[in-house]
Amino acid sequence: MSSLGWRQFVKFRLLLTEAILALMAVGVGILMGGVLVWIVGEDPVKAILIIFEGAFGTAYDLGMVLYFATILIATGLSVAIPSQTGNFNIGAEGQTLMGALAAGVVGAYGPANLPHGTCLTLAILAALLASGLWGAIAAAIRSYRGGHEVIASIMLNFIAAGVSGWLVVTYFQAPDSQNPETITVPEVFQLHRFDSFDGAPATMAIFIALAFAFCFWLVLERMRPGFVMKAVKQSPEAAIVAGYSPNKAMFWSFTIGSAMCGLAGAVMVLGESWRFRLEISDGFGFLGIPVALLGRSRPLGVVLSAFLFASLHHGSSLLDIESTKIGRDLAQVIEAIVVLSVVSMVPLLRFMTGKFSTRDR
Amino acid sequence: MTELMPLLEIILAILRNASPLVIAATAALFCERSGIIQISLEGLMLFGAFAGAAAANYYGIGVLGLVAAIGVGFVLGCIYGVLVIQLKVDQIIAGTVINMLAWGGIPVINKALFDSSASTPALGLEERFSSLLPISIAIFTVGFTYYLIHDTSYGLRLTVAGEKPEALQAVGVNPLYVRWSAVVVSGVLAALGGATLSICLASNYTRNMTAGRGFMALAALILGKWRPLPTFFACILFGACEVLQMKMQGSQLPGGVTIPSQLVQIVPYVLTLLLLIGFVGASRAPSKLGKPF
Amino acid sequence: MNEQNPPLIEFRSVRKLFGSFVANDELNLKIHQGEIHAIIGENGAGKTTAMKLLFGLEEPTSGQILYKGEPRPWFGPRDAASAGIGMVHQHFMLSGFHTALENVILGREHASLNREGPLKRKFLSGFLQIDRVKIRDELDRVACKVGFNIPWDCSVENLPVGLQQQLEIVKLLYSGVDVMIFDEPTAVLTPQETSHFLQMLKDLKNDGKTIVIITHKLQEVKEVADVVTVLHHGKSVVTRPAKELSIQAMADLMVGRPVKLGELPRLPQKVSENLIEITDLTVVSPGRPNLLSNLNLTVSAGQIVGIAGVEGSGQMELWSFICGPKDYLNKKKLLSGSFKLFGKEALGLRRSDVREISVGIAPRDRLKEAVLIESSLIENDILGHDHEFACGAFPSNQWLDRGKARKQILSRLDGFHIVPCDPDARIDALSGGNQQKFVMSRELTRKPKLFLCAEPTRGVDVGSIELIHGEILKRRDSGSGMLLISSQIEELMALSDKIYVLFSGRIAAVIDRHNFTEGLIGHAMGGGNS
Repeated sequence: MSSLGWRQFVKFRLLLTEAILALMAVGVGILMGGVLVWIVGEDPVKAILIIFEGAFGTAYDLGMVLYFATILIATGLSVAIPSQTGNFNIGAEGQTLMGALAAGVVGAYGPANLPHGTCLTLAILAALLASGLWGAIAAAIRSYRGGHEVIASIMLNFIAAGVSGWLVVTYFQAPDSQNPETITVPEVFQLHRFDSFDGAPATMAIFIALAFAFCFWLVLERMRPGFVMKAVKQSPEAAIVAGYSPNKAMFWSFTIGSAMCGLAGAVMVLGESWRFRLEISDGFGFLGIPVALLGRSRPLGVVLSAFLFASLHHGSSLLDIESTKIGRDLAQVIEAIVVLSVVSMVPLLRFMTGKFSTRDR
Repeated sequence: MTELMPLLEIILAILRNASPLVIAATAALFCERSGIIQISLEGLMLFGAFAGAAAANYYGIGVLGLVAAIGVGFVLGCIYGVLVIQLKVDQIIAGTVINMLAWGGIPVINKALFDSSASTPALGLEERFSSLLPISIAIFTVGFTYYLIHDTSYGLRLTVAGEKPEALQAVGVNPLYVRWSAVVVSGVLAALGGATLSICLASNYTRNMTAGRGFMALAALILGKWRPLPTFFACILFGACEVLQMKMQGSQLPGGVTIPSQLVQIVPYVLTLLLLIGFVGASRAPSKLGKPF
Repeated sequence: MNEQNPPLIEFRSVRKLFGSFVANDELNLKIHQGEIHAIIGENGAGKTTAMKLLFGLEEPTSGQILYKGEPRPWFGPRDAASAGIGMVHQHFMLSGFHTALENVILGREHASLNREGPLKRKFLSGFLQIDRVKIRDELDRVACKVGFNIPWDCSVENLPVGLQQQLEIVKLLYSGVDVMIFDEPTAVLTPQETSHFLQMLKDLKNDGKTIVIITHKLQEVKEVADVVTVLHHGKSVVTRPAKELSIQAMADLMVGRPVKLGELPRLPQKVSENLIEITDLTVVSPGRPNLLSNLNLTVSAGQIVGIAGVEGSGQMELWSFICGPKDYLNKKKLLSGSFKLFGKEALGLRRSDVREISVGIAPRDRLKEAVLIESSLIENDILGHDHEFACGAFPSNQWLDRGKARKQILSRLDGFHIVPCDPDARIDALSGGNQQKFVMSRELTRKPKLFLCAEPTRGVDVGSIELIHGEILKRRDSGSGMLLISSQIEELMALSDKIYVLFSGRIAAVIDRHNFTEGLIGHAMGGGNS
């Protein structure tokens, strides 16, 4: 038997099953979305075409999709990485906020006389650090105090909104603005936008996001920490016997995952609005959950899934204009149904086939 | 007598604010004490608020709004039950799905019914209730829940289902039935709590009107260590924070110190976080919380 | 006594299979009304399965279970309770969070002590107030009758284990049972609690109850039982009045004849330095005063040391301790003792430290602790040994050289005849026997200086047993030292150079190879002194 060929085939077959599951979930999502559209009295086919046009119609639209995809890769990774040790990061909103705040503050008040690249690196690193630290709070609560990281993360989301709002209004308020936001960051801190997208905030940050995804893949598939993560997720008991520490593994995967949100926040601040304003995270942190779930928490899956959801998110904004019966909220319904399908398809199949077989043990 | 009026006003305001929280937190109490995580309070409340306002508006009768909310809560509770009890889907993800369906689906339905994705039409005075109704519902709910949990066999079996379902099985009671009842009650109560927001405390439904109250109710449950009376007081505390935050917009405390309203707003969450870290005494969740049977 | 009357409960040629595993085989059992009937046998002899069959938690593959001459009419513990049969499990079915009173009345909160017909509940009775005063009175009466004094409003988790067991018993009595089955009742009791318990059994018998007691403790059987049934490998070997059997005889029957594995080639013992030295080790934890008591134990290179003992004797405590002392002692108290590994003080070692100093570990619960069931063979080979495949410069030694693992694994699989021999096959595609061979190969082919091994041939077919035993002996002959924990006395006797027998956390006997007899070992396992 050709061992290399066989090995690739086995791996390929596994990936294929996962990909089929994901595609089926998307299919169900679109189908149910279409049904909903039909119920409210709009033509489903027309709605889908509008979404397509909204996402891919002009160069500007493509640029926006790229921009959103960059953000979603980052927040998707922030959910996918902790998943690999069995943790659930629901705190991406707060982590993104803190990362954005750090980027905005460093950008606004940092040393503006350094070269462009250095400034950007500084700001992005600050963002990664801030969001990583924010996530580390929940991670520490889980690993070292035994509290549930999900509840802690939810609390931290709200706390982040409050704290960042207070900090901006009290210390970092832009004097010339009525809105609660920081001053505009100087050009040396701004992410340069690609020319071919008609002014859309598509920046080279996409490469950073892709690089992070690649590093995630490297660690998971080729490095010892990744092996430990997978062992911890599959069987904490076996991991302990093997000499690994599930607590340590969970802490670091959660913290590093949270740090990914920093990139998302930095992109929002340095790439799009050029300042930090309240609620800049705008639900993108939370969207990381569907992205990661659809992408099965795998690096490549997260990237593809991010592009899909970015297209859906941006494309559906055209619905507000082109349709009177349905608006951009349809996207969120489809997202919900996709998540539902992804997590319930396997149990549903098992339930339906298992109903007729009795096993003693 | 007249000096008491502002105080009475404040107390009423606190109770008013706290009532939806109390009803929702009690909803979560049923669910979580039986061993099932309840993270979809936000979505349930939104659905209840929307259904309540929409039905009250459509039929012109306020009570039907409450009935509609109860119905919607029942259906959602059943959906959640199928997902987490029969299919054993991860409870946090299932709860999040319900929240997402609320955030996305309600504007869609709203637009279809009322041509606006932001809010339902305002209700006239005859269709609404005074704020005494939610307060009464809240107090009755807490009292009855306390009695149920402490003094009845239903309460005993409910709490055992969340601690050691095997013990129930050993005496021939099916823990899954117990959990099902808890999940359905949870859905109904949470939706009812949401309905009081739109029908009693406001005059219509507006987008995202719960504004995180669902999560705040969950925080109150945790701060109250999953027991009815402490949870009730936690809700009161959170209601007071909200009233305080409203009253303090821009004003100063004696001594010239301004506490920023954003920070007052997050006091409930900070307290809960401190509890999780262990600073506010030990917290003991039901042993089997989150673990399917 | 009651041999002339028809039996109350009877098993007739009962067979129970789980897949291809035979749990009970031609089981014949007769329990008469009003007697104390002891059922004894080793781990895996089929005792628990027999009780599950009695209760209706499982159905027999063939054969009949009769109650008062008719096939048993119930299919679950609740119906069984209506018929008056109840069981006190080895692992209590109590909710620690709730009070004693609440645990007792669970399921019968409104019924009173006088069982009036089948339990019929109205839907609304769930909302009626529980009459705690009346219940407390009734419970006091019940408890008094058997000499118990239970604080009804105390949380069960705060009660000592002996009281918890009393609670389980009261629970049964409160539901009005006539037949009471006890599964290893004195495993968790102190000697004083045990004598109270045995006295209580006699009181219950005088009250007209029928008692079935499943136990290893032969002394107690002698003290209290009327009839003894010995189970061995799923069969009922003998049923005799207790006074006709000596403890020695019971031990012999329990252990059975050794399975002829064929005499494995064995070099004379060539002992060198001490690998493990445990001196006067005593560990306690809240509520468990005899985890490990005054243990003295050595394992030398070139020697296989067997540890015999029944469940709860301290085998697994000792195991966890040696695998990672620091982690084991967390939340426990070390009252005395020292532990040396390879001659160096080792009380502060964690599991990861122990792993890295040439100690191979094959844990007892293969599926839960030894393998990642959803992963491939090669992933499972790396488990716990990833430091051997470390490579890479940046970051240093954090990369995994899977190619190297792949090259090595084929020879490992080959040497142990593991089928299918495919590194990428998922490990759950292997049979239990092959899985175990894999775990053994993973550890033994790495030539550890010390090998810790628990239940090496559990769930393994006879051919693989021979291979695994052969490899273990080969390792020993090459100079490794081994600690072998097994519930199969035949296996311990076949492999060990010396055997420590544990009972209730202390060493009941140390037996050298030339003194090995089943009787001696079984006797010590049951608590007898040598």
